[in-house]
Amino acid sequence: MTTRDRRTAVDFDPEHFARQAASGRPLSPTEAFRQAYRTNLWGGVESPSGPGSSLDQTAGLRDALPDLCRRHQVTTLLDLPCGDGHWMAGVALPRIRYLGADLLPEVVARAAAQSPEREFLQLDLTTSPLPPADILLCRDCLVHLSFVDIERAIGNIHRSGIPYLLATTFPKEPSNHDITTGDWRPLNLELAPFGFPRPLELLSEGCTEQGGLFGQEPRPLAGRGLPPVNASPEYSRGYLRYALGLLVAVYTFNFIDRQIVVILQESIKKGMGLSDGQLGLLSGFTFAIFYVTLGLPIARIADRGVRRNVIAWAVGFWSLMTAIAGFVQSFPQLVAVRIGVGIGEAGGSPPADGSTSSSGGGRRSWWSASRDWSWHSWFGSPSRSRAVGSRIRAGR
Amino acid sequence: MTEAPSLRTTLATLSALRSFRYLALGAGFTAFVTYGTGNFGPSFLARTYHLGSGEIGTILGLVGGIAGMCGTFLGGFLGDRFGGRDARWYLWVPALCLTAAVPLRILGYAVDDLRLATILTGATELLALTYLGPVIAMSHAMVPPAMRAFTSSVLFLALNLIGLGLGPLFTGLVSDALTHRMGPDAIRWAMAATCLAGLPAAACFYLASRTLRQDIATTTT
Repeated sequence: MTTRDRRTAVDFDPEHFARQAASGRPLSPTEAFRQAYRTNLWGGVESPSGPGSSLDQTAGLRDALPDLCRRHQVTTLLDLPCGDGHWMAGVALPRIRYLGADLLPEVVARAAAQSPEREFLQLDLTTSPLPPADILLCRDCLVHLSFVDIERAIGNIHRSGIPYLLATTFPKEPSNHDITTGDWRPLNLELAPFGFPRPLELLSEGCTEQGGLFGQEPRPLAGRGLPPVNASPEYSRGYLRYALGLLVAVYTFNFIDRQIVVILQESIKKGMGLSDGQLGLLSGFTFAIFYVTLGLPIARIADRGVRRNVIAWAVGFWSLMTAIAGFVQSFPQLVAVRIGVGIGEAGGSPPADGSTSSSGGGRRSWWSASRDWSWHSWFGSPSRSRAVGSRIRAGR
Repeated sequence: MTEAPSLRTTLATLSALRSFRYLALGAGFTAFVTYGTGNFGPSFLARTYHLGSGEIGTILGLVGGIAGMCGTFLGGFLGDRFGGRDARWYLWVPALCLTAAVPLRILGYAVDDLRLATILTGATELLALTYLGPVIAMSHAMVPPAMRAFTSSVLFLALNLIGLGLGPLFTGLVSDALTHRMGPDAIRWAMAATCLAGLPAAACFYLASRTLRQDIATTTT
């Protein structure tokens, strides 16, 4: 079953905001969610948060949440978005400080009226500084956001330093696609462009709504305790700029050293008495054969090893070969040296391209970078497949 | 995490796609012209118009760079403009441009006026690069997302091997063969001969367009 089939199988219109944007009236996220609440777009009977927030739908989660918090020594739970707090009002969370927050002030007010003993805030997941907490419950939220907004949300969550994320995922969904913020589609957070690691835990949720289309086999706990910590450092903005600048410089020299024979070929022809055929062989064939055929194996090495080192060796080697080309005395020597340049350059550009694949979409590099930084474990849910937790780590 | 499809699966998928085979071959022929003439561009300007490296650099850098940039953009723009109704336009646009580029380019090498030659070759550079965006886009449309990066590399493998590997070599060999009769003019006619490969390139893109819609539909369902 394709994602499109699933989307058309839900009870509400999952492309409402896309059509609205197409008709020339795009809405901001706040306007979109406000409209969804006001018009009960998602068709919830108990709450305008939608059918997924009914007591029936949240039964599994309501049972599991207190226990999950106990096991992970949670003292502060941030529930963003909390919506109108309909189902959460009935969840007893002993010795846990509950903080509810939502994008829409009027919705926060409703939740606060329903649970006067709890604290509520107006927060935007994508921009607001988040209050300190041990776990962020982000249920049925990312599935309504565009990739760009999800990227901002994840960046914001990361900056908050909150160690666990419990978010909705669909572990059996084969791929993810983009939507207009406000609409809905299932998301599998383990796949591109997110690439979260395996969840630490999966919480099963009921799947009676929407005809049980999302029913999936419950999955065993992905792992008890926390998996080994990913020690990738977090990079500063300045460092990232420096790295990008360096790569641009490397690529510029890569191009110049590739073209230098063409630029100088009239002098080379005169100096060494070469024919045009030999020039063509030199500037094209000898270079292309090795550049093309060795690119793939070197890219594989680069993927396994440290990219930085592969690039350093490659740029060093081809630069040396280019310099030596200035001293050669015969055509065969020149050919040999140019083959060396081809090999060096083959090693230089694929790792430099790295994850900024021209085809995987420009976002990929960001997402893999984000994966490297921080997301080192999370819990998710199988059956209805919501509620995923993640322990976010802000570098060591 | 799901694993990317294996190399074997990807290669099998690609070789089963008739349109992709023609796209890769067409990209190779197109690059044969761009590299075959481009790598001898400095020699052509030096021998025919007796320019120094500074002038050569200015002409080739500005004309080649700007025209190439505009051509790459134009190909994508025109493809999107017409391809929305019928995806085959993505390939018809470059096929038409490449065909039109052949006589323009030959004329550009044949005239004896530097300014005219620069304008004509600049225009053909523009036309010759309209294929890049549409060809990458269409080859990606034929494969599942997880195969796209590898599909690009196969495309560029064909492009570099045929184009860079054989283009300059061909031009050089033809120039050598003509040199004893034509002297310094040999390079002009060798480059004119090389640009005839634009015709099989256009033919390949046309042939690819004939099965394009089936190939896209097969993969996406």
